[in-house]
Amino acid sequence: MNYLNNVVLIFLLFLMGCSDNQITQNKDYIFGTIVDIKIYGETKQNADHVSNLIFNDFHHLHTYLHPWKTSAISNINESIKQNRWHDIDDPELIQIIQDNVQLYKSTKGWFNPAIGKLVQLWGFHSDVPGQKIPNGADILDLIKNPPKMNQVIIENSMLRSENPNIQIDLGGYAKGYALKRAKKILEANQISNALINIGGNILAMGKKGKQFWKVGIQHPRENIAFASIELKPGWSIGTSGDYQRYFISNNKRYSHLINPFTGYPVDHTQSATIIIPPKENSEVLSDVLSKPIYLSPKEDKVKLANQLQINYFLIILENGEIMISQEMNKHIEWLGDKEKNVKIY
Amino acid sequence: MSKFINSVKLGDVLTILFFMALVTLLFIKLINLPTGEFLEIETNNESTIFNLEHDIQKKFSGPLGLTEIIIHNKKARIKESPCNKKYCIHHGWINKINETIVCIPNEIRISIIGKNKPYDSTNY
Repeated sequence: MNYLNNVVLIFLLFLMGCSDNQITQNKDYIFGTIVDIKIYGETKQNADHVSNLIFNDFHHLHTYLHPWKTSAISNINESIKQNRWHDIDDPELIQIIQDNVQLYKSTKGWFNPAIGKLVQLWGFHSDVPGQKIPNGADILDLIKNPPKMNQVIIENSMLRSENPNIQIDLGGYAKGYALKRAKKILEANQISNALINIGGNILAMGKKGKQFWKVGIQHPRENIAFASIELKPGWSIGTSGDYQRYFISNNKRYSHLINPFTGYPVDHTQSATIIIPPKENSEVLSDVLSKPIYLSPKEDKVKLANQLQINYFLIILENGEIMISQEMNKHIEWLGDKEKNVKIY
Repeated sequence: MSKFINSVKLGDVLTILFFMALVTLLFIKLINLPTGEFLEIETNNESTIFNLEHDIQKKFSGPLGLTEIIIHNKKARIKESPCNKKYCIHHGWINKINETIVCIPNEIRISIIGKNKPYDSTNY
């Protein structure tokens, strides 16, 4: 009888082993960064299958929107350069471009995906960033007739711009858009609990059991997280910082985030982290809207955040001072023993 | 015997007492370690996390073959392993946060994680 009991117990244990209490993690390297997908409450087989669907979609998106290799975007840029109409035969791409124009307008030009030429000039259109400060005259040439995303005109499916300085670079948009697509794939496969991290841009779907997903926020000058935060279902978090893609010349740091109005990387801010609760396009907004908050001068940041309806922000200025919104401050958990200079707004 | 006792000095007694206290303290600290809530199993480039609340019995493949891991009564252990020395099996049950069993030959690592695993992912 004991033996029978044991057999039944082991069988039950085996069945429970197939149950849905586990987190399955898969990783891939896409968009020039690590993509990390954690899925809770699914069999490993199903989680692996859906993760691969997402990875395949991301690989496609990366190739399709690539800013400097041959892609749908580089083809558009070639047409703009030659001042000719470009026929976009993909409604999704038209929507993406229109979305970028709209975001340019709503951020008053602080998010400007038309500055690909500036990004290239600074050496960031390369897997390994260049190490040279560009010639000031070349920057001035571009800024004299500044490329503006609202100078991109779409009529029906035809795109054109009369400003040859425009070169579209969706580097500040693509990861957020990829998160949005990943969410659709997960929903289509009836997966409601997942955490998707594309190089630091994170979308939390559902929870892990009874607990919220929790993410650490990396310190821009140290290799550790200085804070953590629980993400409620549907929240997306994004950071713009000067510590992932940059070079140092004459002891000065130059990051890939370039002020579209001056043509130079900013030196007043180390990082800007924002959280966007679930709403239309929130995954995209968590990627895009961290740029204006990062790039704008200190005195304008809070006003801009309010105008853009960003209730959750955490900014580290160059002097180490932390600017945090009241809402973010309610949810943040500070890590480490180091004293922090925090101001709540 | 009395010669031995006579040769013991105050310093020797204090030293012995100090180390006894140290061992007792470490033992108390060890048994009072907080128990974990999850088991993280890492095999070649993959990591899977199981809730210790639910019993499981699963096999994971490594370069030598299958390692069998069980979770029972909120504890975890390696039950079977194709490695030679079987140190991983002799390690027995683990349930305290950060307790880890590593089977180097079969490249499998299991560790207990608390509710307060600092975070699930990093924003940067």
